[in-house]
Amino acid sequence: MNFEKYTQFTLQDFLADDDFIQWAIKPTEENIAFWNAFLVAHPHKEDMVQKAADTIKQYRQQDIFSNESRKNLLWQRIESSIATQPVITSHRRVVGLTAFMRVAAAVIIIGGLSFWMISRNASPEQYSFATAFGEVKTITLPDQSQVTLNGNSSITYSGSWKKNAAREVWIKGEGYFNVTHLNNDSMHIKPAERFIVHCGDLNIEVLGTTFNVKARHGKTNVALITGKIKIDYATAAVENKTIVMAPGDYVEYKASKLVAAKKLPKPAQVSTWTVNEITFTDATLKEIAETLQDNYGYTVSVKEDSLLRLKIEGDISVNNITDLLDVLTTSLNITIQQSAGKHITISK
Amino acid sequence: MRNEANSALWHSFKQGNWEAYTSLYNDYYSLLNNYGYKFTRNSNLIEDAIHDLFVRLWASRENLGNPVSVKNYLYKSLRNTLLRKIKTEEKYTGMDAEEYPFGFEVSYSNPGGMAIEEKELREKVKAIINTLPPRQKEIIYLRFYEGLSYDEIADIMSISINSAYKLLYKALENLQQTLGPSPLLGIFLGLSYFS
Repeated sequence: MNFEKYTQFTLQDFLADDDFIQWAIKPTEENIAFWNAFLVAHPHKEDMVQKAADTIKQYRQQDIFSNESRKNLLWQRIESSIATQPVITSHRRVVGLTAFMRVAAAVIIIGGLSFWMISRNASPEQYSFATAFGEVKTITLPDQSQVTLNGNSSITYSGSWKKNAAREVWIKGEGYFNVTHLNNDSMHIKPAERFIVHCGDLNIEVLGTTFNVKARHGKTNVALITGKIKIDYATAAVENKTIVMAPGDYVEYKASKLVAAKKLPKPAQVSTWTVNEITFTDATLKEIAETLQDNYGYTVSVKEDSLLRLKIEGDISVNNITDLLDVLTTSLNITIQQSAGKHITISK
Repeated sequence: MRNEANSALWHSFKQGNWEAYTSLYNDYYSLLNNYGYKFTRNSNLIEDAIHDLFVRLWASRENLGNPVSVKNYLYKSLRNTLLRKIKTEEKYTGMDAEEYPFGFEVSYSNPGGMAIEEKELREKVKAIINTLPPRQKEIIYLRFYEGLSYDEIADIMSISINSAYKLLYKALENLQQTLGPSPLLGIFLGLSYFS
């Protein structure tokens, strides 16, 4: 930067000059020193310099539009678009071809063999989505099936679902599935019509249905709302029988053994968490404490173990944790203390 | 410094790092909204454009280059996407598709507690800017607000560097005519003016 060129500058020239603009919008020690020195040497330029700088500064006092309130919603939309998008990336690699092999390859291609297909290093992408404590998120899978994840849960699946292979996902935590039905003829099921949820040591096979699956504390339970699903084990053992569930059925597994099977009086209730409602039916304090820890990230300590067996008969349906704790306090006649950092202490 | 951090982020995103991709969104969301808002007041259209831009980024991440400035690259992409959407929209609403079928508006609120001279100058700047054609408005914005160089501006606006010079000078001529030696302004600003 030299003074000479600036002595002849007009207002317009200053406004067009890179260094001048940088000084006006991003003053640094260096450029402040330069322009101070310039003005000392050429005081007759001071008014013009001042006016040009003020013009830029006033111009910059404009309104800012950031649309912060829509930030998370738009991100969710982007995520679900990506999840449903066909994956177009693939690594194409031809390793160590000598000149001779290149000629040979060319010949093979002309000969009609798809050399590229062979040398293509297909590596299907893995998609993973996870929720934080207290977060509920719906993900659209490549076949338009939807899964809603409860708090502290995750799902993994391959990005490219091939036409002639089964649809497969791996879930941890709790998820509510709404699977797109592809099969119209239950006697002839094509591979692509199969939909398999891997959960702990269970494989849940689906034809097109809605169901809830929950794997926490070594236990896995599945509740079927509509359709039909088949459950078997990741490791085949003689005593493990395959179970076919009908709507309203509920099963619970622990250490690869069926520990409970019943009809749900209100099947739809297993999915109320997907609309951010907290519901329990005939729940013990133990179940409620587990939900607080699993889905919302609380730590719960109970003064006496006997308290955990306390049971609230009937339905609880609340919208937030504070209301839930109020219900517990009044109906079980217990004391609940909530300290900072999501810690809850329950005593008589 | 910021540029270095962002090119590391960009690099990591290109290798399929979802967290880096999420950071890009978080870092640039409001800047892109602000830029988009100059072209249209239809915030749904801006959202659609940001959506398309980010979905496309992820899908084509392996084939993307390494831009000198991530921000400029995103500005340019958003601009192209958004202008295309505005054009389509205007086709549907039956508006005349001119050569440059969109506006470029900056807006100012009236803050309290501003010195009278400042307020005068602000009003003046605002008035002149509003009379400029959209492309001149845009180049003034990229120059004075974003502080970009001529070649950066040329890249974002998809014009030659030479055209960028010419365009800016045209805009500045208009500014100078009004801001130049004006006795009225001189009195308000308490400035004497030699040129």
